[in-house]
Amino acid sequence: MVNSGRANNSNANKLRKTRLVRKIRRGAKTSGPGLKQKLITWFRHHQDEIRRSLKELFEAPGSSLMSMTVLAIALALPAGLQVVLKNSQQLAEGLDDANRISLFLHMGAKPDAVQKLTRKLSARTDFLEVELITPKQGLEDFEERSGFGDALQYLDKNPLPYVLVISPSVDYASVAAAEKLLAELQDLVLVDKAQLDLEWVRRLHAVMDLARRAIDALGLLFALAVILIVGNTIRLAIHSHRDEIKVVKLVGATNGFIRRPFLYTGIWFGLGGALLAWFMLMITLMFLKQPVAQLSMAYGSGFQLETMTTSEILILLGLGAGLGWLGSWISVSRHLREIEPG
Amino acid sequence: MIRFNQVSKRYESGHEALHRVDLHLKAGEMSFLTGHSGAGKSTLLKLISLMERPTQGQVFLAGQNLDGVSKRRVPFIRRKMGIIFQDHQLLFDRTVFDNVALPLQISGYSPKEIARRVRAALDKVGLLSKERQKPIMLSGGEQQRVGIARAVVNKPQILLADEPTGNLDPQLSSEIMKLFEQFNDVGVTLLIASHDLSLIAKMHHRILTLKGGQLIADGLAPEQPEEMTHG
Repeated sequence: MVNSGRANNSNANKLRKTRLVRKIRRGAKTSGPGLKQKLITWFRHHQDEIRRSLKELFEAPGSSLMSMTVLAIALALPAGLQVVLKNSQQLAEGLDDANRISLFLHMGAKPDAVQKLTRKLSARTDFLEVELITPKQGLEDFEERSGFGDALQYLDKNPLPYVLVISPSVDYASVAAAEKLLAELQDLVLVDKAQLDLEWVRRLHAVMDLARRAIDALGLLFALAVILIVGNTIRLAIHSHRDEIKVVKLVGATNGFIRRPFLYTGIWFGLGGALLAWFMLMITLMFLKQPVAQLSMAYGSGFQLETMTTSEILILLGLGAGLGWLGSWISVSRHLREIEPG
Repeated sequence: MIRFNQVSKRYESGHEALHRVDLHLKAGEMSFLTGHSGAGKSTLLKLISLMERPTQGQVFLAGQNLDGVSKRRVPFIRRKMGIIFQDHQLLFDRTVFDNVALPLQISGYSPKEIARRVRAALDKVGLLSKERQKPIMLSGGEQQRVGIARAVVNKPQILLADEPTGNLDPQLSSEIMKLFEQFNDVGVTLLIASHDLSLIAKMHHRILTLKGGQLIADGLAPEQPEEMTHG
């Protein structure tokens, strides 16, 4: 009985409280602008801050450009390494079909015997492809690729043997299985030498994997650098707006309101840095394009230097803007608390 | 409207700026707060505007205990009051209009409404013709009136002023005080800290006198006027 009475009492208190809260809220609503109006002005405030923060950047073009250049270098380094990595991968992919076994046959092998062996090997289900290269084809290939065509004319007979190029199935992907197959093929009567082109490709892939990880780690470090650089720039900006922050806090500005222009400034710094980084990379790649083309031509390769794709550029710009925003946010959150009116 | 209940404030330095102050200002009341510099006038105003928090006791504003106001809600409490400073606290890189518009922009009014209210406030303080100027081009008295326009543009129920006439000559000072009385006429509660006793004695409003952090007098006449004229 007593308990329920107390419960009633507390319920009544609660009711009174919620009524009071509602009253206060209603009061607040009628004294200020409506929700819709607040939303509209919220968007307009964003526009104003975008304009104002951009204007501020252009008011001190020298120092803005310098900060952005530092950011650009911090962004261009990992981005440039990514481009290098992408090109290396493209090169290495061309080498994937080197996962094959070449059988160099004895010089004196008779064409009939060679044909028979070719048919026998072709019939095996664990080989994807068996290609026969006759001495004549080999010589023509060599002439075409090496540019020594003239010199070859001085040879009185073709020095090349028959070659069988075998692409084994994935069953032989492991080193052990491939080596076992190699030994088996080496034992064939006609075979002078069986050669596996797999091992160095493997090593290359391992090295590339390592490089990729190293570049990713480096990218993280540079991302941290970007955050810190933007954070420091924003800290200085906050400091120079100290009085203004005090005043707007006094007249009832929320932290969100005060934070906004600095966040935009951070975004502009990050975006500007990323644009500059892209520009730097483009110039570097243009600078490299010609020598790389010459080099690959000298090797008879169709390799072409790949530049950044549109989506990669967008990722770079997005990352720059995002990191700028993050650096600014961390900095503002840290330093805004220190500035209080009074 | 404003109530102090055994409020003490001790700063981190150990200095006790206010000691067990009890105070009640009714809605629509206009009062002066006086005392030597260092008597606790500014601290008392800072406790109302939540620039400082009491170490003991409670401050109530329109029935709300300010103890329970979280840091996040502080801006919304401040929007309900207008605060005026001796050093004006204007933004010198913006026009008079933009300075006065600031509280309205923060509250999210439309540009049309802002323009209407800003012009009304500037008209009230007699500076409508100077809305496009920068504060630096105005005289001290005009700058103070811009500060007042900014404080009243949001139509607050409470106006707090800390030495609003500190840097002004007697004639300008009494003009500012007349302006305050006009706000009081339309129901605004005012608390004005000032050590200009000769001025406030003429005005016939409630005078609260602080000494060493304690409220020593509360009435229509200032306490110990001969001691304080140079406070």
